[in-house]
Amino acid sequence: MTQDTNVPELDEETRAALAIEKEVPAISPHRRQKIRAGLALAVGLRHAPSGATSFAPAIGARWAVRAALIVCGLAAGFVLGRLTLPDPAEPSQRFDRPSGSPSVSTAPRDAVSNGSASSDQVSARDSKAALPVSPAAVGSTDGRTQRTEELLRHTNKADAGPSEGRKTDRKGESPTAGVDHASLAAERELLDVVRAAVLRRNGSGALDALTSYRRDFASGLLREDADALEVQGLVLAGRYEEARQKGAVFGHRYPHSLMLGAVTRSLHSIPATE
Amino acid sequence: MRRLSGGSFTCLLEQWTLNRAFDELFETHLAYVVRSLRRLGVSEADVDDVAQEVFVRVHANLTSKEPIASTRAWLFGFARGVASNYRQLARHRNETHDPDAMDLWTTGSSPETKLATLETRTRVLHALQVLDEAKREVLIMADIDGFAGPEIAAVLSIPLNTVYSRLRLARLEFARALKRNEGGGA
Repeated sequence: MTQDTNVPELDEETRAALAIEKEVPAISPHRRQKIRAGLALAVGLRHAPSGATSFAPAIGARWAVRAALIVCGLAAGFVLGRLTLPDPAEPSQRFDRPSGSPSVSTAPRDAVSNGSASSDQVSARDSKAALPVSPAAVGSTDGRTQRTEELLRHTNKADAGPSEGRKTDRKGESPTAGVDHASLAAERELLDVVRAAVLRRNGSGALDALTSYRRDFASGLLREDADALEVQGLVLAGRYEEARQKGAVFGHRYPHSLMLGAVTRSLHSIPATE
Repeated sequence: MRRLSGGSFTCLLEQWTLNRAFDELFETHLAYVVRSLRRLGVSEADVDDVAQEVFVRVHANLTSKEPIASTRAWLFGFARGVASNYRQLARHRNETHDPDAMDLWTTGSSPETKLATLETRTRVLHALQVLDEAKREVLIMADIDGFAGPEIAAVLSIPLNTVYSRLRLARLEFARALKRNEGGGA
């Protein structure tokens, strides 16, 4: 556009700098999500959940989720009901023993009906009456009692607390379970830039990259590294007082840090006149 | 179930289409808007909030996009308006340019290259802040975003000759400022 308009051409160096600036750096997903959340509130649009990419109302998806929730609720209610409520058909199985079936001890009940049972016996009977009698005891092998036993077994297992089953589940877990590896890698990558700047003794460059790190990972996992590098960056940038303060905070916060030596060395490199 | 009338259904469909368009605009151009705001002098600490404001305005004017401008140029028009308001606030007038905390995380190059890029970008941003608002806008649009003269004239609502005269002065001042920053780092 400048050929016939008397606009001077840019020199090579300026053009090269502008070429770098031309490339628009990408926005990190969490930052994008933050802006999106604020925007959704501001323009009255439904905020898409984390990771979602659409402001448009996903009507179909919304109804599908609602339907799935209702079905899950109904199923859970059904299972819970079967577990906690006594089966209305069972008293006849428990107490109205069919003829020819093996004998079940009904002594407490008989004793109560005869007026000769002690209170302990009655309470023991009452507490057991709520639970179905095991098929072994009734000698019945029909589907319902088998299912009840299975449910009981399942319930007992769940009530047993941190049982062997749970322990074996945990055996398979990685020690870094719950850590977002992609995020950790991104953190490490940013701190590598800071480290490179420190190695090149470029204090302001290190602090600039650290600003980027702190914005993206306010509560990052590698904060300790970042804090140590910050002290080094501050020393290199000549901000000695700040470096001393941050160094003291670092020593207090991470007394056993592996980077404490580097931080101390960096602080010792401050000229004595400062 | 309540049935939607034809009118309200059309309205809903229009709203849905607009939201989809806005969504696409946001996803595609957020990074550009954020970067433009930084170039226009919005501090790193405020740039996310100001970008949000830009998109609120974009959302309100979604149906009134001028056919002459490209999408980026159209968005730049909003960004420059919001950035100008931002700078006019008393608390921002004398603010020194803060370090550039650009997103380095996706660049697949070595830490050294990233650092060099960061330094260059910071130098460019510093040099841009030396220019006055009018020249800065023209330089950004012409030499960084690569818009054509008539497009710049349309977005900034100024005559084409004014675009060229501002660009001439802007280039000279920018090159001088960049050389001054050289060696001094950020």
